[in-house]
Amino acid sequence: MIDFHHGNHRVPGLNTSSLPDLIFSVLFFFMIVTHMRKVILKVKYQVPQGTELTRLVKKSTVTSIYIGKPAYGMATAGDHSTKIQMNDKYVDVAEVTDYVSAEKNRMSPEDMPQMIVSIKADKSTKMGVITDVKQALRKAKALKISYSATESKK
Amino acid sequence: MIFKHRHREVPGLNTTSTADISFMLLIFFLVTTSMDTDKGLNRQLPAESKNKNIETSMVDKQTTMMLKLTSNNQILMDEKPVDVSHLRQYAVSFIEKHGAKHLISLESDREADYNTYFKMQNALVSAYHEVRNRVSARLYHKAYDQLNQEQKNAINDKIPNRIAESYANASVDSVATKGGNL
Repeated sequence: MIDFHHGNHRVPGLNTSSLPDLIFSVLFFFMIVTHMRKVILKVKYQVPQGTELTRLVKKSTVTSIYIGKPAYGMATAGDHSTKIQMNDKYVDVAEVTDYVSAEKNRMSPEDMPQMIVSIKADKSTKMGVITDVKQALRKAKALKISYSATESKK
Repeated sequence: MIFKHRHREVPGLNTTSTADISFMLLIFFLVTTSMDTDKGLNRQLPAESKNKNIETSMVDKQTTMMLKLTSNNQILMDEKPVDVSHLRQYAVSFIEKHGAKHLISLESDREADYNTYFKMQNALVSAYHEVRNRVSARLYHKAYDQLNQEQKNAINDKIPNRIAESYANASVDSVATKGGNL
């Protein structure tokens, strides 16, 4: 006769041996999609919103120019004018041409014709600055630009 | 001897903390990750002309749309104020009417806001997109994005992107140069 009464009634513990594998796969996913921010932002900017945006696919061809007001703690006393930042430091409008040219020369020959300059400018920037930067880019022969923006909800 | 008869077994590696370690790494990557959010409005700048003298070309007033961005962020279309939300419609009908002969001239004041300028550019890109879609629907019964490169080129020839932007007020050099955006 089967003795039901004396059977083991303890609920078996959850088997967690596959937990590390599970977490590892999520980890790998994030490792692949992530890309580290290379520059420390010294300006604060909020890009405008648009509807007709395209994705910048090839990261190696993109150079960014940040335009905005100095970030907290970066402004020297009383200086709240619009700043242009390229690669970790503030640059002058006149220097943009040189910096972009240098950036262009650093690229591999096959990337060079596809170079895109992404202008990440604050909404409230005056057009004068933008026009100057664009003029400087024309001088540097970096003619493909992209006005960075976020997708707006219709 | 007692040693001989002892049963030896290599203890298994304790892996209970592997989950914690990988959790740490996972959280690090979760925090530092920024998903591919780099989007923007692609534009082509005109090449800088080598000779400093200004090229004059005959522009027909009839087929030109003058867009001016004033210092108080108002868009003037042929000297009349126009709202940015209506600009797209005007541009669509204008481009459709004149086809390849049309020209959109942009001029922005140095004091104008970038936001308004961007909205204006966005409206123009959207207008071009709309017109090209219409033409492609008429010719190929497909949306423009679904066409092959050859068909796209055919439509781009019919409806070229003809925007001339003034760099007259750039401070770098004050030579008035006008050029077309692609």
